[in-house]
Amino acid sequence: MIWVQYGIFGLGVGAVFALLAAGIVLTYRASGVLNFAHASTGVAAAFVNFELLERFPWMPVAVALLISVAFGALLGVASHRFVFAPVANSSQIVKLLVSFGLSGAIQGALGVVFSSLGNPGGAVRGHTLLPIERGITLAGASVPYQRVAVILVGLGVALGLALLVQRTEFGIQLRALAQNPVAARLAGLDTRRIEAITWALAGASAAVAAVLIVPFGPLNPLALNGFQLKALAAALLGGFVSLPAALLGGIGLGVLQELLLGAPAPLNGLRGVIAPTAVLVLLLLRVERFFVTEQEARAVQGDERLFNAGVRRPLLGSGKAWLLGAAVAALAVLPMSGFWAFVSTRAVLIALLGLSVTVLTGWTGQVSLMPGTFAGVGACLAWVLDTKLGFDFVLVVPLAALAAVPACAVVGLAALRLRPLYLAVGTVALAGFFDETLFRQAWFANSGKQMLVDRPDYIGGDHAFAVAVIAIVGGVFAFTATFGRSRTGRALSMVRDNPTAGEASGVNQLKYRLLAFSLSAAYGGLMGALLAYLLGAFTTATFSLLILSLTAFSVAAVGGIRSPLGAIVGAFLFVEATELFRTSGAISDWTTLLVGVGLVLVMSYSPDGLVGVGQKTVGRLRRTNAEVELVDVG
Amino acid sequence: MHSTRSKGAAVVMLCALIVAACGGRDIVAFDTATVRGALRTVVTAPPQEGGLLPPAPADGTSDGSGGSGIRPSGGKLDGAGGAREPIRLGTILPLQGGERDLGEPVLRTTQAFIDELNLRGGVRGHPLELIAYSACILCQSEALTAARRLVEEDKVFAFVNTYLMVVPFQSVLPYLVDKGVPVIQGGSFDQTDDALSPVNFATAPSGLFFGRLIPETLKRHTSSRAVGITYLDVPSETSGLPILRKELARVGIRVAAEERVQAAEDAVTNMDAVMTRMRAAGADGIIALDPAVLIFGRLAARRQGFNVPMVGPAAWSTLVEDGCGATCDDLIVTDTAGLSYIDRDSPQMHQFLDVMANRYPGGQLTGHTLAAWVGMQLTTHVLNQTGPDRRQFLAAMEAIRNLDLGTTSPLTFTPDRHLGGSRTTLLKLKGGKYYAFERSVDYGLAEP
Repeated sequence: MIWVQYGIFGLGVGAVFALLAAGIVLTYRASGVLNFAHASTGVAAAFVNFELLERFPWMPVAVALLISVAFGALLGVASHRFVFAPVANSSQIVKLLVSFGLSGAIQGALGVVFSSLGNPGGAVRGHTLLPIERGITLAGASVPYQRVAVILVGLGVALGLALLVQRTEFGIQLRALAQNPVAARLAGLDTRRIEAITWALAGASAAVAAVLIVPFGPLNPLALNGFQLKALAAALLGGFVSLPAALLGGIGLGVLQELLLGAPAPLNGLRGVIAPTAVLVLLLLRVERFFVTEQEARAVQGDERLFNAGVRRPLLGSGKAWLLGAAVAALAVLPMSGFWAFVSTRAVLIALLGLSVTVLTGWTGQVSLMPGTFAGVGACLAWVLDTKLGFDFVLVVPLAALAAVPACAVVGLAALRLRPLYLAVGTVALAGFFDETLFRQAWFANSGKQMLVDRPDYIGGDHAFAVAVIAIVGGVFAFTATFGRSRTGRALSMVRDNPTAGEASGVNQLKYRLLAFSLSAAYGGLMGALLAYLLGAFTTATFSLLILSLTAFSVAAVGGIRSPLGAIVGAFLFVEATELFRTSGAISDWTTLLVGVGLVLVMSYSPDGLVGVGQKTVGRLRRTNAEVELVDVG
Repeated sequence: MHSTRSKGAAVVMLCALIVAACGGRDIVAFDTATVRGALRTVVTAPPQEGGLLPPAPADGTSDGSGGSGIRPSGGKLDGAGGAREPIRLGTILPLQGGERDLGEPVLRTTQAFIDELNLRGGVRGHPLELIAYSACILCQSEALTAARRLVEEDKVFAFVNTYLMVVPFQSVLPYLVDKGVPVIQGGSFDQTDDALSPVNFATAPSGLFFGRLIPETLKRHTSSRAVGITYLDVPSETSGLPILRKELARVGIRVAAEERVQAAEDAVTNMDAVMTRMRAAGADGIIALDPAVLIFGRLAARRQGFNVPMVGPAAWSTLVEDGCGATCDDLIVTDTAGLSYIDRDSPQMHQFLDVMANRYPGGQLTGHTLAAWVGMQLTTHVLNQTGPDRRQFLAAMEAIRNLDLGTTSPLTFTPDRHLGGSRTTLLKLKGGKYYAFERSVDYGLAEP
């Protein structure tokens, strides 16, 4: 009987996952956008719902719900019109980053707006549509009316959306748009209208999910972040295109989660591991093929070509130029104060992690959202090798970099079977897997507690360490630039740009993908080991997905994801500029809002990041000069 | 040509490396043994004298007892005592994005105390100046950068009220120990490893506090003999678990089930199933080590008809008062930091309430804000005796015995014990309002 109870609770949780997953699938089908801002849209609607009922107590909750859902729909349409439509022809990676930016912008805006209205988040709970304290009894479990509403409305809306797509004329039009946008337009379909309706439906479904579930916990801008990842995993089951599969995935995940909670020890304690493992297994078994037609799969495959034509050649620089640049940087650090030498060292290390993203994602198109995890492996190895085994810095750093490669090989092997977007979600699950397993081991990570790593005396000072790091990282950048120009480096680009042609030309995809992963893991491991020495004391929390991985990814993308220089530009902007503009007592959500908007703007204007902007400007200047010369000659 | 250039670059880098290495470490080692020997005077305040703000200036701009008194903050001393160099205090808090709701009350309360103190003459004629930087609650690199800036660029004398930053301070504390910079935590701070804490002082240790207090509370006030434990997966809660298990066994209470809640999302979605599991495991009482888990657990338990005693830290929480209401009646609540003197009728508590009303209107009167106030009371109490001398300050801190600040339990610090409090008050709720039902409970830091 108790398992039935867990199952009923699981249905309630799963219905929310399914609702959110349905919205993710809809926007992916209509516009090819894997929207990480989807849950934030829902939370915005939940805030509107809360404000309405607080300010107008006479308003019936059903009316407030309707207004909130309408707001969610409008926000969905606006997101598409003003944020995603401008990058419609950009690569998946650009759209992904834009959605990260939009999520931050929405969360920041919520903080700004609702704090100014005198409602600091966190401490308030949303209003319930139905009584939360009372409910019905099912199989011995008391299920509150609100949870019943979540189950019924969630399942009803998700099923309704599935039927809409499968059985109606609009659904046929949407499918046509997903499978071949050009053909859909040629056939006379109003694709803009279809996209707008789809985004409205997605926004409305997110609003329904949020308004229903938020009252079970505190209302704050981050309230549904965990739901977002679970919903993505559910949508993944059907390759982001199958609504029935997303529905099944959401319900399945919710029920599995609750059943595991009730499982006997030690199985119960392993639920943090089992969830990411389940996602990975589903991915590796390619379960989506049971839900996706061949035609849809081909369309998705087409969507996932990471880079559209017309982007500029990456700015690699020569190895010697990088070495010279490193020498100048090392000299520039010497007159700085110890603090600024420390800050510059941190920036250089973030640039190194950004470079690991450049090699893996920028060059070979494999989207890994776990560079921070690779760095964590390197940092823990530094602790094991230095503090526990007594190795010297000169041995620890290269060993940590090399040892990170096999430790991360599992990701590379998984990557061989996964498409880029699936890999992106898969790596989120893998990062969770590492957090729950390796990063909790006493022998490897001191059981998640503090680890101390002392710098040797010869690089004990801030300046000496900064110069050492600049020398090492400068060498890595020089090697990477040289490697990028080599035959092997060009083959990596071919894996990204045209794998079929690459195969035909004898480029072994397996070999080059693994090579890119190995290189990226080694850079990550190296960065982690050096960061461990920089900090002196740390825990594995430093290397969590939301802190270091997204930072590295954003740094590489804003700077320019295909150019090593982009990692430098992004890192210095992120670390040095933050430090230059740091002010005392700055309380606001404006930072979150501005960073989000900044990411959206940079990615929209220049998919090649700030380096791309520079290339464009230099190109224009050259053309202008050439025209002037022609006029002079004339 | 190219070869010459690259060799030149390598030589330059090598030279730079050698020059920097010869410069040696720019960190001045701090000998804590010397500090401990510097001052041995026992600082013991008579009841209700410690932590009291000095008299208000004659113009009536004071703590609310006479006038509006709201003045902008700043380093310049605007009360009696003349213009002397300000004493800078630093803090690092989550002030941006979704976490700002945690840090903002602490910052504003700390600033309110400083503004009021400066109005009344500061510390020995020095105005206090607060420099607060933001870092997220898990960001160790960012927090260490902020800490280094505060120490090396802003030249702060000490850190105050960084008790929200348990995880980042894993990286920050060794640096502050190295520099000999005092850290005064008004609230509890996860501090189970004394090797880390020659400079760090907290009014209560969360792990030891929960570990010792909760089993005793269960034994004295409930008939529970098998409990379910649920907690958030954060160091301040997990570090106390071994002590909690040991102490439960000592008082004869069995642990029927343990449930780690991974994130807020778990608390939202899973509490019904968590309570079902606890009931199935035979628990006749629940310990919840986090206010959110306690409240949402209580709501879920009530929904399931699982009406067993629940104990946990959730004092002074608006979330409890507004969100749980009558459902939380009879819940036994401890605080989070030895600060449960909610209805204490002392001049210091009146000052806290008055200044908050005037300088932070709308500010929440919670454990977090009271802790910030206590941190400033303690810091200025000792600063008044030693002035801005770090060694003397640390020595004076370690010499505090039974100091009554009027807003918390009496504090005692020694060179071996930087965890000051030892008593608290147990609370219950009635109709969404707290009331004290057992006062001055000794949660005993000494080994039982």
